[in-house]
Amino acid sequence: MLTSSQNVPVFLIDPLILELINKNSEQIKNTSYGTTSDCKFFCVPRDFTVFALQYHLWKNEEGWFQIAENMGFQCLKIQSKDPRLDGIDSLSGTEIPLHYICKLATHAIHLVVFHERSGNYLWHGHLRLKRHIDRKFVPFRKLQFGRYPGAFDRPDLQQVTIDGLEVHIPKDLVHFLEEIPHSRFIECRYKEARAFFQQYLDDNTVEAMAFRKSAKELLQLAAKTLKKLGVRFWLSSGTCLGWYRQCSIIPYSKDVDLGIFIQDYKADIIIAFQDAGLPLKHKFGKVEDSLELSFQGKDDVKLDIFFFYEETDHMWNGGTQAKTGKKFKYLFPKFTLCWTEFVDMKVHVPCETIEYIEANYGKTWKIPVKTWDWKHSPPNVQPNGIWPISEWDEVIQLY
Amino acid sequence: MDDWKASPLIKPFGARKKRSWYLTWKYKLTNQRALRRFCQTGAVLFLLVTVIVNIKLILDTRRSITEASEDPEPEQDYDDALGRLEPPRRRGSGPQRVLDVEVYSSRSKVYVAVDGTTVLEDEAREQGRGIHVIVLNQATGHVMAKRVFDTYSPHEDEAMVLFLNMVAPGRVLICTVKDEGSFHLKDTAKALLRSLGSQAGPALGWRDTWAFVGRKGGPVLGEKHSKSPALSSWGDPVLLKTDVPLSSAEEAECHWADTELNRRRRRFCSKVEGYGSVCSCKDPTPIEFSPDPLPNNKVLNVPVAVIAGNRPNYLYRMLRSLLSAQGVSPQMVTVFIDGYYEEPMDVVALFGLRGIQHTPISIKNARVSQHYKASLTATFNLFPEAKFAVVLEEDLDIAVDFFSFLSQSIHLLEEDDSLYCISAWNDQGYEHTAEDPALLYRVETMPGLGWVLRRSLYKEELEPKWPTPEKLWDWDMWMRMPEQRRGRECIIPDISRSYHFGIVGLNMNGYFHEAYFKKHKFNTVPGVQLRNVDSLKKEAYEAEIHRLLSGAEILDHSKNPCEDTFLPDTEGHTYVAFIQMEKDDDFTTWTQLAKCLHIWDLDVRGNHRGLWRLFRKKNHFLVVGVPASPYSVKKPPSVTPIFLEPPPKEEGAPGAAE
Repeated sequence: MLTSSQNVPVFLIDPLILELINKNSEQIKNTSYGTTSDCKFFCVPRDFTVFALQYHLWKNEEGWFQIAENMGFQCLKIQSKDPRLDGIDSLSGTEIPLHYICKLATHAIHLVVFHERSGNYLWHGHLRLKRHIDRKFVPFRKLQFGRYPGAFDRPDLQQVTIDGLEVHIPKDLVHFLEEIPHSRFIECRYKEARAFFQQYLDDNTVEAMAFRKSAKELLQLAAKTLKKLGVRFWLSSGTCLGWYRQCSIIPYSKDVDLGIFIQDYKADIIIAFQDAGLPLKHKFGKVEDSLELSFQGKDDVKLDIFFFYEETDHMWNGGTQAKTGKKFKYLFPKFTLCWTEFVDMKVHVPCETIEYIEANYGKTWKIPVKTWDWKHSPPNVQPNGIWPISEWDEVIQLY
Repeated sequence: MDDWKASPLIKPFGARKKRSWYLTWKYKLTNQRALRRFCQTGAVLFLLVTVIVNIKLILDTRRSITEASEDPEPEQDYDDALGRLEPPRRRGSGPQRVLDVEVYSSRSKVYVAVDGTTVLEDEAREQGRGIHVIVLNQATGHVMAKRVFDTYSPHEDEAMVLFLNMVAPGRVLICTVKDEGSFHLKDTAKALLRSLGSQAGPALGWRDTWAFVGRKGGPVLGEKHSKSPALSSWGDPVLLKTDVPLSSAEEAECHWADTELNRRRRRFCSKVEGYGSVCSCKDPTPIEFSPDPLPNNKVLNVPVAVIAGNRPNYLYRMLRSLLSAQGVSPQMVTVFIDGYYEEPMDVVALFGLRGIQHTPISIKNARVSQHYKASLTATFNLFPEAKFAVVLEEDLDIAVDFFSFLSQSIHLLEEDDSLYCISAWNDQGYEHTAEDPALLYRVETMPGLGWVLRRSLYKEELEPKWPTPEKLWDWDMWMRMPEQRRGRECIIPDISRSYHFGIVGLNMNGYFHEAYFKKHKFNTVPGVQLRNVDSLKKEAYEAEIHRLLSGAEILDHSKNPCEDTFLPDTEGHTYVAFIQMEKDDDFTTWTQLAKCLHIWDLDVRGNHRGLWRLFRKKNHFLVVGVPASPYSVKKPPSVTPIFLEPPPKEEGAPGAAE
């Protein structure tokens, strides 16, 4: 059933089987469990068994296909251009394999090719059928991987014996199973970004480069800190616009903006950032309403964290004017989170990016604007009353 | 209105509707002649604009359709854009197929057309002199090779003989002369032309024109020749038109065993010519080398970037040596081709390697340094876990112990942050100045030509401020600038682990190569154990130098350092000479000494704190610049440093870099 004899570096990622293994993890540790005659896991009825193929460890790509076909498998190879070259000035080259589907009788093995990407993560591609491919080769709709490109933390692996077969599986099964439904990845729009720079030219002054470097370091530090706490975040406001429009940090933006769902808020965020060398600069609002935190990074770069509140038909985050105690509300259409790669990191952005950006910057977001008033410029800003003076000490904290 | 004629430039589509309403409007407006003329001009302009707008619209729509289509195939887009040569259409089918071939030879222009498709056209001034050779596949009519040999200049006829001998029997050969092709066409070459059946080729005279079509191994399919009437004039232009019968595909191919390797070979050999025995039917040279693995290989997972242009024969030679080196891992190799060239890509595919083409949108971006940047960025993107990358160029031979050399030294780059790179090339390592394959140096210059780059150096320092296209800097010159190098040094071997064989390139000319590169020493001994590698670290190296200088015998400073007798006829001794060097950047005497020692003298290379290390007559020879070098303290007071007068200013050496 497996082509492991050919030294193909694979590990099991089939959600169905992994789920079963997870439930029976105690039994699997018991080595006496699962003889060859037993088939509790691999024999569960289904159309596919899914494995991840670690491409960078694979040495015998050429011969493998032939051998599988000699064994009676009918194989389909899906390949495409390499997204790791897309960010770079017009490179094109040898295509990379994204998926292999090999069927034997009514069952098929789906090999999802995992490629290494900058930012210490593994990426798999979209399973896109070219025109000449037989759409009835396998029931493609039932595939668990490949509807979208995906990104995963590089998992530690362990070898287990299941139904008498030795296979590798992710060590942290719970984490891996949680990742699967939220693994959708979107690529930066490199082509559009190049067009943008053709029109507006990149700012390559020493100051711009220095800011980009500090902002990148600040973002990396923030990501590390939040990851340790287990708090989800995404690129918001100017940082998100920079990613979407030009695949880089906007040099005149002067800060790094992140979004966090208020339900993910943890009280120790402030301490964690302080420990990471980022003192609190100001805190506006409170957990129940319009929370916003600002931390002071190195070289005068500020980290702004906006907390997002969910309503039935929209999301919003709040703003506070320190001088007057005026409150503002920024409305966004509902969105979900996707992975992307930004400044050598795997980070979240809203999947519905264009709606998010247009809400914040309007239809003219493609045109660079250097003077931006956060109280009036955004098309999605609404006045939201004023904080009662009695609460000012709590909701307006400047350091 | 009847006398008005549409400009031939104006295409009817799209514009017609607009014209009719415009004309109606115009007729209502006026009958006056002057105004009419004015309106006519206006109409033409308006139409032109409309047509342009329409064409642009159509193009844009088409482009967006292409982009939106489900599976865009970029290769095809490129084909359209560059108007790649299509296979010539064939008349009829079956065994009677023929190609009609036109060959033109004259003083200022040559061209070759196959079935009406121009496959060669050269009328550029001061370019393309000599004999142009085209090889066609005898079964398909595809152009397999296109070369020009400037046989007016020396040695080019030898290259032509080499090339023609490599062409497989049965191929169709086309030759045509532009300007002058006889001055250095020697007997060997003439004999070869005779063996091809040519009448005029062996008798080719000064400024004759000549066009030839024949099959390798016969028969001749057509030939025309016109003698030059006088020294100061050229032969008349000749136009040869001839029919070339095509043979069957089986005849044109070899019968190799059906293996994956031979499939690659077959694909390659049916497309291109001029690679010799790799396409030999009887005894093809291998394309897989499987050199011995390197025990404890520290560079097994280091990506190798090969930077290439459009010199496929060089690339072929380079990749052969690379893939034969002990410890190579082919899946770590990526070849980056500067431009959309097919033949280098064919070479890459022959060896089963990964190839990436770099096709910048604007010509301005096509500069070598932009190609370098894109290649390095891509390398670190493709191998996100790699801490280092090996950077090679297409015109290098790679020593058999290249990876062994790196495997033994790469830890230095990790442990010593006063290092900038490890390079396989010693700028001063000539046949007569390099001796010890186990010896390494620290140098303040960046030699390139096969080197290791640290990811952090590239990502954090170089990439963000890499020279932009409008800056006219060479990437290597830029990397040598103090702002980038910041006092750091490179590790180099005494005997180079790469050999720079390139001649025809952007930066090189033949004379220059002969003088500065040909006599470079190149290690051919496998598995050399490097000596005392850790003594190359910053502090240890200083101790080592002091030890060396303390034990060195001081040469007789009253003798002329350019004379051979300056060094005694000994072996294995260490000698030191002190030369004048007033400041850190005073290289007056050194440059003169380098000149007379016949080593690199175009700029300063191979120095370490005012010290140069090389070999003379199998003795280690140290040169210290006094008083600038901190090692000047080793000079006894009685010794007067040597001063060499620079020659009076004249024209500089042939301008070239590297």
